[in-house]
Amino acid sequence: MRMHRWLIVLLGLGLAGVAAATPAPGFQDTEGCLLCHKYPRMARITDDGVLRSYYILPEVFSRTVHRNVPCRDCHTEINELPHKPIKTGVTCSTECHSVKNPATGKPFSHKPIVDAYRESVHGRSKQAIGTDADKPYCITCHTNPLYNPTELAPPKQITDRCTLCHEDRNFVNRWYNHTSRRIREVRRTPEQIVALCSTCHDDKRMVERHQKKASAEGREIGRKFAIAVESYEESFHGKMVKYGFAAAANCLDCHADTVNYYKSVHEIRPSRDPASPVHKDRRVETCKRCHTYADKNYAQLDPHPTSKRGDNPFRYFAELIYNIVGYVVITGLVGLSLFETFGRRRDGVAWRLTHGSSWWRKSKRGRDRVV
Amino acid sequence: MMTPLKPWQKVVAYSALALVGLWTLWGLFAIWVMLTDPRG
Amino acid sequence: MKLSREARDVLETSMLQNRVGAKDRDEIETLVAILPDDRVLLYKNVVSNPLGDLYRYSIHIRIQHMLTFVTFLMLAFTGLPIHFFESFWAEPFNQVLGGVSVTRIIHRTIAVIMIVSMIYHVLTITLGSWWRMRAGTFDIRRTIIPLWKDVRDFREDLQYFAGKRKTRPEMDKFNYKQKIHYFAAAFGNTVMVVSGSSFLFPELWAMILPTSVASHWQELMRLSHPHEALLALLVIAFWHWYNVHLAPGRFPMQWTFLTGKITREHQIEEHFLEYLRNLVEQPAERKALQDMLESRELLAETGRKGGKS
Repeated sequence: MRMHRWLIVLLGLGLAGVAAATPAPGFQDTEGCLLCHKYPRMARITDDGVLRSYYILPEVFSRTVHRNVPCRDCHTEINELPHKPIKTGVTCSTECHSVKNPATGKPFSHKPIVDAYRESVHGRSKQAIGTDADKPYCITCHTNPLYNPTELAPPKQITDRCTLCHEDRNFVNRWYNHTSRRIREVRRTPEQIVALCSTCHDDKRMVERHQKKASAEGREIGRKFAIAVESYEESFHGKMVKYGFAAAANCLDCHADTVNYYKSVHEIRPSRDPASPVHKDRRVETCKRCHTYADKNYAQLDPHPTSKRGDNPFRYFAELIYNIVGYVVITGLVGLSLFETFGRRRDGVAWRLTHGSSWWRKSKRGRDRVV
Repeated sequence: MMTPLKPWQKVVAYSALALVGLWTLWGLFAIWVMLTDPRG
Repeated sequence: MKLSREARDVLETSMLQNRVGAKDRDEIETLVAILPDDRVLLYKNVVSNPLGDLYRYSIHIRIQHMLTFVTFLMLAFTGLPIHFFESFWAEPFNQVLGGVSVTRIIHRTIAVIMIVSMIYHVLTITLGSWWRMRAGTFDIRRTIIPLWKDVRDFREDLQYFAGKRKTRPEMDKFNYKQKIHYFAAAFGNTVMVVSGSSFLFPELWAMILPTSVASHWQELMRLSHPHEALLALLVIAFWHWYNVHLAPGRFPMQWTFLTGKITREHQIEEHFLEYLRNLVEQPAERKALQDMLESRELLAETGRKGGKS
């Protein structure tokens, strides 16, 4: 994931090259932040030994989704120049005083979704410690990639019409990209969703930490928590998704509600929570999203099957018996064939490549063919 | 005593045998697959 | 040759069922009497056409074998890369067929053909047996149904292979190996169809089964399908091939699946009881056998015991 982010930065730098050739729109440094942050060596090593760069490339920033938000709308702690070391950092629930929500006229904010997210099993504050720090914060999933080939050059045959009245092509292009991105399917593909959830849920050390913490606190934890990813991959859904079959259920198809997908994915709850779509009382309804004829028996089927003895002893022993039977049968039959060949050869049967096989040999039992 | 195969019969019989041989290779391959299957 | 009590009973039943007249009965009894006492000498010395001498399988059975044979090979060939989809070797297999989504469709389509062949087969044997019962020519010993005799045959055959017995047991039209193989295939096919259908129609199976077993059932089916398939693949690759192609006496190929006929030497060695019925049902076979025995001076009456006398 970190690697991924670095790649994005690199790509951004590449883009910056492109941007340098054509004057970049947006991002006017009205607050004077670039006075210092334009220097590439603007960096420090934190107490944890992490090198953090504070270098801003205006050409890159002007291509991000937040290009129209002044720095201090998010970096609210900064009141003076030069500013003191920052303690709390940026949270996504801050209100942007410079950007009005065009629908309500209030300052724009991600607060509603952040609040909903906090209620979910993944919910955490920005400054989380301990096992909570393992939980994803907004930017874990919302990577806001800078490079989007379809947005580099909006189709002229569409935007030409807009420029007749809106005059400014940069404005039109930005507006086109803003809208079309929301019309176009920008969700992750099923495979990407599984990969995203797996970054944490398949991390054995993280899973172990959470299990330990839960047992120390006497807190209940899902039966499939530790094996969520591997068992899903063994399931029919998991296999189908790997086949590239987009209609098969991915993590969110069952674990998120369907009322408003974009909100529901932020509200994932543990299966013991009655509000969760995978709570035992809601499973039939959840299965029915795809399996029209699902009934309460169908909802009993385990979507996270394994052959682990602790998880599913029935499957464990069934598999064991199958393996034993398989090997015994094959060994037995091959053994029988060898024994048979040996016995019949003693009686004088033999292979002849050109004459076919028959009773050519002298029998050890003393009854030979009359030639 | 088996009468010898005529040439066309040999063609049929031995080409069938060749197919069988291929299938047996496939069987050996399947054994290899089973033994190396990471899922155990 | 003095027939064993079992062989005598089969012969009598056959003559009765075929309404053999006095003249024919006399001919059969005479022929049986002059057969060499040692059956080994008999099957070692008869002349056989490798393509087969004696009628064994109807055209229906041969078509069913062909259908099962082709569909089985193709199902195994498409199924393996579906099951082991992630393995590096599976990809080229799937690519050849047009990607795994195509492989899956081919797999199901061929499965339907296999099911058709199964139904065809069940119809054939049911109607065939019914026909025989009506005509009064049904003999359970001549069918594939396992009998206690098969256990005894198996034991005696092992004794023969180990050198503890002089001859192979007198086996019927279907010997113990064939019965095992037949029921393994019948059971295996059923398992494959049932488990395959529970992948295709999981809702249906959940509806039919009680709540307590619905989940276990699906899990068992998911295990059964690949396990049974691999087992069948290996049994075919290492046992069936041996029995019909590689075994000495059958090498390089047993033609029965094409011609429907079995060779004389094979019939006498492994299906002696059926050979007795052949003698009853086919007068020409009596003549051919007698000529062969005479030309090789193997007749029991001549006083010569044959072989190294």
